[in-house]
Amino acid sequence: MGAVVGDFEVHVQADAELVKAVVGGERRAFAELVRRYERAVRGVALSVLGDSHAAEDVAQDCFVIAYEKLAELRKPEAFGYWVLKIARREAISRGRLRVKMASLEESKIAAAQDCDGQLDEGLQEVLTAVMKLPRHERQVVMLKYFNEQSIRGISKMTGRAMGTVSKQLSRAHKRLRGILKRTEL
Amino acid sequence: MSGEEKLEKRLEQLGRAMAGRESMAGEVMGRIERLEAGTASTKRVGSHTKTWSKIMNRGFVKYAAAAVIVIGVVGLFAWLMGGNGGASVAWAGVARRIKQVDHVHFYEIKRRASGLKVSLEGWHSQGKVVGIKSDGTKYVDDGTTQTVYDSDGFQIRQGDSEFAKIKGRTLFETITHGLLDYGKQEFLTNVPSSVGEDFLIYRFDAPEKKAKWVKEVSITVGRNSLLPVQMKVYRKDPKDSYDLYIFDYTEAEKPAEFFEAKQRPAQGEADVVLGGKEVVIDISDSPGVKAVVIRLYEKEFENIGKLKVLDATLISTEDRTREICRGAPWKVNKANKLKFGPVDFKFLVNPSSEKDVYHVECWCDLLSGWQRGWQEN
Repeated sequence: MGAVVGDFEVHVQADAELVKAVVGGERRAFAELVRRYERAVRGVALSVLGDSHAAEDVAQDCFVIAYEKLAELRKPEAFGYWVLKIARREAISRGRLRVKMASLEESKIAAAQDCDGQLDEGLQEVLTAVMKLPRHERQVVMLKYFNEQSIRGISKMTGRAMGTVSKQLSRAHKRLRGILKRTEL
Repeated sequence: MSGEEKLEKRLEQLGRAMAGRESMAGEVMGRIERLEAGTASTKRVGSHTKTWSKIMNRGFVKYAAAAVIVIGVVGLFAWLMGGNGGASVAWAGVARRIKQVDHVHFYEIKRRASGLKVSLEGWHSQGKVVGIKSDGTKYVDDGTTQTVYDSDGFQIRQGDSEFAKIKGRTLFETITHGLLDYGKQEFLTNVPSSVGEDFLIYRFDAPEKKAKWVKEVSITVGRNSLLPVQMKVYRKDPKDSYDLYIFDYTEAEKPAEFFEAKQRPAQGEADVVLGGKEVVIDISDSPGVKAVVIRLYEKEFENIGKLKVLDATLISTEDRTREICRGAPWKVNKANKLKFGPVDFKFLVNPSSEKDVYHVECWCDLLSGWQRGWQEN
């Protein structure tokens, strides 16, 4: 059964199916997993590093690592959490911090001329708040808002019931409002 | 506008900010392809862990398995000399003799949809294994410790031996990870599926542990020499991919030091106090550079906590300076690699017997274009 897009029903493969296909030798299936989670992974990296250029590098590294370790993933359906965890770990890693720290002085100069590497303060606060969500909720929020997925699509990807996804999204909103209550939404 | 609507709007804005680029899928898949072809650069920061992971997960186990199979078959040679020419030689005989053979040289080649790729070259001798990948990464496993070096001879990783991880099992069982488990009766009783004038071919179904990705294993053995000439691991892949191991017995044995884990000598070293003053370390062995000024201290990072960090500034032979890092986190007893533009700086930090005093060893290589960006002192 697939997701309904307009008048067409499009087959959406679950993450677990894609993971199994990759492990079985279908390397191209991994590209779909990348497309599916790249924005979320980029968001995680950005939340740690605060710089979208560095976050882009981390995100790419993260997916390469994920590909290499995919056979070790015991629960294929948990790919989403797993890849976001790798992203966070990679972003925190010495190397990425080093790049940020080492180029700090240069960045200050460059920042005046090139601001596209940073999120504005308001969005950074929202991103930080998203990162504070429990992992289930964080994943659905990222898939919905970063990947513009419908609840049905998220349900298919994650293997969770649509009702569960709706509830998680609703709880996430409530939690986000709480986290952001000090800021003017 | 309600709070919920405002939140929705901000989340949508955030989503658009995340989506403001082209998909990275093409770039990622390209890197994966290059990595599988063994051509991915190990110069990227942190990539040593990935290279290591790849060796451990894909290359090492399989090539080591191949090595031990060779070992067994060589032993079998003597056992079978008075036999019937090998037609009824059960695999148990191969396994029984495995431990008796020492020097083996081999190649691992991978067939994938994108083509045929040479993955690594390996040697086995006196219980030690050395593997060199096409990017120059070398690893040495002495049965207790496994050490990985980059193409410059700099140690980038050290850990427990892969051989020693599974206690109470033979070397053969350990390094094949069940691919051709000695204790599995279905393997031990296997006889050649094909007997030709020159070769015996053994075929094995995938063992349970590898059934996820392995379809079948085929090992071709010389009928007269009883040495395997190749092993093919067929993958469960619609593209008919496989891993091929070619065994070569004509290669001269490597000297004993080849199998020794050996770190490239440091260009400079000194004891440095954490939170203390800057220390100038002479690294005049490094072309173009006279010294490096090091400072170790701790720094608080938001969302992360306190980390040990390092500042480093190079002094050229012309007394010009270049800051290569400020506040770069490092780890004790681990290889630390920094690449700052055309400067490749590597250092090891080991604790000393004194509190907060660390022994720092360092290496510095200047790459093409290094002359730019230096400050007059």
